[in-house]
Amino acid sequence: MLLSRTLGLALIALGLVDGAAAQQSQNGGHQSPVVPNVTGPTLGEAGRGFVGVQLGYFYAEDGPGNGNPYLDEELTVIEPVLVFDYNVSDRTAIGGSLSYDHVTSASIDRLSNFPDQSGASGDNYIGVDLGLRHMMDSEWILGGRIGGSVEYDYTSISLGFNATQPLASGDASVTYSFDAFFDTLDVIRFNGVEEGSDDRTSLNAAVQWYQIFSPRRHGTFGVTLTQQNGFLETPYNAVVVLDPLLPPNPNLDNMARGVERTEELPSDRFRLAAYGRVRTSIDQRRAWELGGRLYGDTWGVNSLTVEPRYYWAAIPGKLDWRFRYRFYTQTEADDFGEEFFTDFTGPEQLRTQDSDLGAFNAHTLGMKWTWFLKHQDTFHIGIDYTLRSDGLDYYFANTGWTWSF
Amino acid sequence: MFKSSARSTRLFLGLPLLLGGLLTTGCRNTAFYERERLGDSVMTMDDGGMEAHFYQKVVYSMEGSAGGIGTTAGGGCGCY
Repeated sequence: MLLSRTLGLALIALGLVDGAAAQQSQNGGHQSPVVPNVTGPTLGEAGRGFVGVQLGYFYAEDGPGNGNPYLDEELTVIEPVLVFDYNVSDRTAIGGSLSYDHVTSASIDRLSNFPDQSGASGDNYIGVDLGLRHMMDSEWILGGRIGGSVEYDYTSISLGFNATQPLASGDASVTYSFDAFFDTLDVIRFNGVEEGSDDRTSLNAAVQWYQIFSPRRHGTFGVTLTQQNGFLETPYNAVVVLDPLLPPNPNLDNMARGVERTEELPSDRFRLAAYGRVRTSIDQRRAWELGGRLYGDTWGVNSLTVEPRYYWAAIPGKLDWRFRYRFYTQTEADDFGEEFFTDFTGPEQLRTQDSDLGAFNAHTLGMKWTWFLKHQDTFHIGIDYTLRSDGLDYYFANTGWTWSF
Repeated sequence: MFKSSARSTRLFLGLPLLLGGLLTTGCRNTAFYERERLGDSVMTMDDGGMEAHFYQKVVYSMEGSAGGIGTTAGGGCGCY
């Protein structure tokens, strides 16, 4: 029923937008380039490129009465990131990114109880990614990348390859990509107990299709398949087994009568996501977009995302606004439980109380302003606020500058 | 495997219908000289690598699902 309604609304919305576009298609005079900036890897004139910097901010709080009742969590992330892209020749380009995350007070209670505990007390993340892409004589664009990241309890090395094939007289292109992540993490439990290190491998295959539907409409569609295996739990997550005969537990935020046990989840997970976005021009200054995603995995999490957007060139050539709304709903994982009353006999009994694996709905509202400066430089500010049905609201913002040369 | 609930089944059966519906609404060959409107700044599909990077990390760390933002769907981050 939900999807039927969504499908109906999507098609109606597209029809309305198409009609509006037809009515206003006689407006002229814009100076935009003829060749659209399509998705997927692109190449340009030798010696051209850009450097961009961005500062991101993210805040989430799991306060009293919200999410997991046994935790009082507060999370702040500040992330500066630097990206660059440079056309070495007309057919070859290099690019890369450097990012740093400063994470504070993921769990303020545990910070005082177990200062050596893993991500519960804070984190610093450094990630580097370098890539190369080349256009073959056949117009295929082949690319590869290598990346790595380090946290105090987490190390990751990644490799990626992609190939983009132009189709149908430039009306479409398809990009095939494959990425592999080889992660190693220190298993430091909720009570500070260290259990050595473990591995996590993630293999990701994706196909993305870009399509021009008409002179005023284009979009992308994709499917991603991910296979993960190894240690997939969050090491410091705990599961509380309630027992009314026990005294109040001072380590639990709500002083519940219970004991904490480690989170245990399957050692493999297969994820499937299918998504699409279609953008329709209303006139030179306005456009609508409708996006959506369906997701399912072998842990029992299924989700639906619907994301309409509205784009407005408030000052043509100078300032663009983007408005977006995102609806997200997910089912809970098979092993998720809000309450457990029977103690576990071993790790083979799978369990989690991670709120992000529970069932919830979320509504996100966001805006982004992009200023177009001299020499194709841009400056942007974006802010998004998310309301969740389980009370775990969060917001994030970013601001960045891109220099083109 | 996937939950076999009727809701999940509807979700996954509905995807081809959604994509098919979108693809069949006005899809035709578009000549190169007709694509000028697609080059408007408000029609740029690419959000930019920096924003996508941060958006992906935030959303993936707060939800049980992943995929569809950027090209990857898991791995490479302890993610808070």
